[in-house]
Amino acid sequence: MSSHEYLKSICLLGSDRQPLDTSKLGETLQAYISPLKELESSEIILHALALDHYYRLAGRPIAKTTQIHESVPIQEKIENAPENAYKILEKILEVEKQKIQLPLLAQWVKKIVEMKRIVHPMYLVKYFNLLTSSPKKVRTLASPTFGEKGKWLIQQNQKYTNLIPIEQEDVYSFGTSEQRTLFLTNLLQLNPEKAILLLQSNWDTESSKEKLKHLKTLLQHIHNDFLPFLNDLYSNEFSYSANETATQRQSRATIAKALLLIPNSELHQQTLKKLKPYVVEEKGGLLSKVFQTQSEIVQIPEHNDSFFNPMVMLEIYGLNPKSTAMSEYRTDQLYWFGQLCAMIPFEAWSKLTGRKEKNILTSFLKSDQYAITVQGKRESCLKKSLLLLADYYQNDTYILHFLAQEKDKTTAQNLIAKLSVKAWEMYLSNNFDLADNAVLKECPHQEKETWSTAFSKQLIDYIYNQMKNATHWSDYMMGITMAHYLSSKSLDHLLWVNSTKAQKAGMIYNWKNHIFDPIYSTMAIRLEIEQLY
Amino acid sequence: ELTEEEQLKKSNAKAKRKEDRLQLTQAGVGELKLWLKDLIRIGLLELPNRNAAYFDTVIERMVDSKANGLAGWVRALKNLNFKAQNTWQNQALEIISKLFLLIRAAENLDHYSISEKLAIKSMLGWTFTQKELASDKNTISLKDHWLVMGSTIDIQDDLTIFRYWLQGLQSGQDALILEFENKFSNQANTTPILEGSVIEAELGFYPGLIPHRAFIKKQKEVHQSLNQLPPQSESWAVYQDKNLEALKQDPWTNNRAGFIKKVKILSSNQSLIAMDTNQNYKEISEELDEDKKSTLLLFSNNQYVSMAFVDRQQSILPLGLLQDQNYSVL
Repeated sequence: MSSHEYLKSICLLGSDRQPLDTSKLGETLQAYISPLKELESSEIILHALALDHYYRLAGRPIAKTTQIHESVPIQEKIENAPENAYKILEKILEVEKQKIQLPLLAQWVKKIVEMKRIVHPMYLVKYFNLLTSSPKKVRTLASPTFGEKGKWLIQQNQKYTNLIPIEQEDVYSFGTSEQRTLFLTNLLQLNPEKAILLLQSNWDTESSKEKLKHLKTLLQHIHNDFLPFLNDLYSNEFSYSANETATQRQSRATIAKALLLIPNSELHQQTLKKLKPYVVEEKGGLLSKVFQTQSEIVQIPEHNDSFFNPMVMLEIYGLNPKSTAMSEYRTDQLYWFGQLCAMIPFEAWSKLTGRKEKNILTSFLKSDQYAITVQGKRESCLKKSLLLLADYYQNDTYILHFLAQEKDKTTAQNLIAKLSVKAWEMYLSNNFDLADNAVLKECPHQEKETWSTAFSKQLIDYIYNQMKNATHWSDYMMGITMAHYLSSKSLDHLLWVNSTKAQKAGMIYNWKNHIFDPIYSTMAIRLEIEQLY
Repeated sequence: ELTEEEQLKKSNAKAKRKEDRLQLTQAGVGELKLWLKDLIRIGLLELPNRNAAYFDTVIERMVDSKANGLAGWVRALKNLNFKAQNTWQNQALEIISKLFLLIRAAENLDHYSISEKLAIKSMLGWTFTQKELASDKNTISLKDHWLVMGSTIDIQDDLTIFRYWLQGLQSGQDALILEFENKFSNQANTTPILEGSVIEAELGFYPGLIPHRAFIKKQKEVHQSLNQLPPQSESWAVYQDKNLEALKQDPWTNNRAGFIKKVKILSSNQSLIAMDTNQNYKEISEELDEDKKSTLLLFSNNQYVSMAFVDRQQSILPLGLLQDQNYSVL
């Protein structure tokens, strides 16, 4: 036993139980403590212990590894983003409100992707920590900025699992169902022809559930080029069969919806022909023609006939004859008509009936034959379908007609969000009283798009006036939304309003805290990102 | 103005206060020595069974004796992680060894030079204000370009202690600046110390056997980049030699910051090591958080790098890395 081990055992057990035997210590220690004989044993031990500690400290060898470490440095093929990019990233990291921080990060990521650069290893951890909280879209977009070291880091650390980058060409073959849908959605927006080719080439290997999922994705991005593919599926793989599964029926229903939305499809044209007999002839009176006051435009039968019957609806349109949704309609026929309304563009109704779109919509929303009572309110049973059409049809005129008749605030907000960028700004410019945060944050602008300068300035003025006149202001998130979407060219106007109006009016609390400060600090960073090269 | 008689009276009163204080502390030293001896007689294996009051009574006695430095050592014993069987026993022996050496130094205070006496008194718990040190001609001062290699934050109840590690680019002298913050402190007038920056300044050092704890006496400019490379140890062996020299002069020295020129960061048995070109290595402290460990691995990228660190004796705590003329804080 070494001197140290011996001293340690005495100290642990106590010198009362294990008295010190100096002969068990090394010579040097013995020589040091021999003149201390007069002292108490415990004090001698303390002397020896202190000396032993420093001897060991002074003589402690440096640890040596015998393993041969032949690890190869990770080589990057792409250049790091420039130094000033990280100064901006640091500023983004310091932003306290995540609702401001994440959109800024998204903008920064897009810039680095555009620059075809990667993030320096010194900043990767901070970058990843923030990126993991970002929406999936941003995480997917960010993968080219990781570099080889970033990919290595993701493999090493479980907390970065949601950043696992999958090379684009591999996503469709090996990705999860969610990743494949996201990939297909992006491709349908960027290159619909390529998307269809990819779908066709892999179609036979897909499960029926996956096929249905892909068809639903197609329906969201309908395009004339899809017609041959959809026609083929409709006439062959998903044509009606007596022993078909629910998934097959749903697939046919989805394809039928898509075909109804394409005016030159056979199904669309055949459906209009079938609907023609139900159109109510226009009355001949001059006043009636000029003002188009007649409310019944389409008369739906009360009982099954050669078109509105369960078999036709199932075989042709894939509609479930026992759908629970039917209970919401007065008759089954109205339910089927409602389903068709959700898919037939309004231009087609106009051609079919010879009436103006606005009047057709009024008829569908107000006519007595469609009226039902929902939570004590009179409503058209077609309303749900007509709102759904707004999603698929994406026609500003249709939505604006709808908005003109809509009184429910939430429904109106949803409809406003479906307008095109230009129509959205124009509509709100004329209806600023609707421009609360709930509406503004759902603007149709793409992530990198900002509001036009003119709209931005108008909004700044409107909000300033609102705040000035309001006794109470509770739309605290407004500044955050504005910070994200205001045009950077409106910054001067904001500063002008702040210095010449707000400060003079003594608007300190609400204006400064909820509007000016979040906008100003965010826009400063946004401008820096824009100017990054 | 005071008359000669009054001045003499005042000076005598001051000398008496100093003498009283010393006697009070010496009494505390004696009490602590007895407590340590008892501890050795009873055995350290009893320590995990002791309640907080066992330690607190001694800590309070030391505070009453104006020996806060000694109270700190007892507090370190109290705060040992007794659940970590492999480490607490060695840590306890180390604390007791150093503490006993300090007690012996206090008992033999008369044998030391004035500067050594001040250093020992400082360790016992004498406090020195920056103001009095700045005006004291005996205070060691050094002008240099000081690289702020990094910092750590230690939160103890309501008190936050910021430790900044600096190294003189010309002198190679390391320095530790402490800043304390609690809910009552006013930080508005304090100049912030930015990690990774180079401060052109004169540092004053607190009494110590070798200069270590410092304060900024005069500050000129703050630079964001290095104008010269800091002195670095070529290998762990060279660093160890230098460290031993420091230990000879100051047996209580710890938490010294250093710079090593060429180390590779490698994973070994679920921990990280910093290996030099001779395959000698030091373990990276577990204190380094996971994010910083990842950054360290990524930045070093299986290649030799220059690294600044704090020596925790059993391991090292990396502070930052040097690449070309650029210093990056972890």
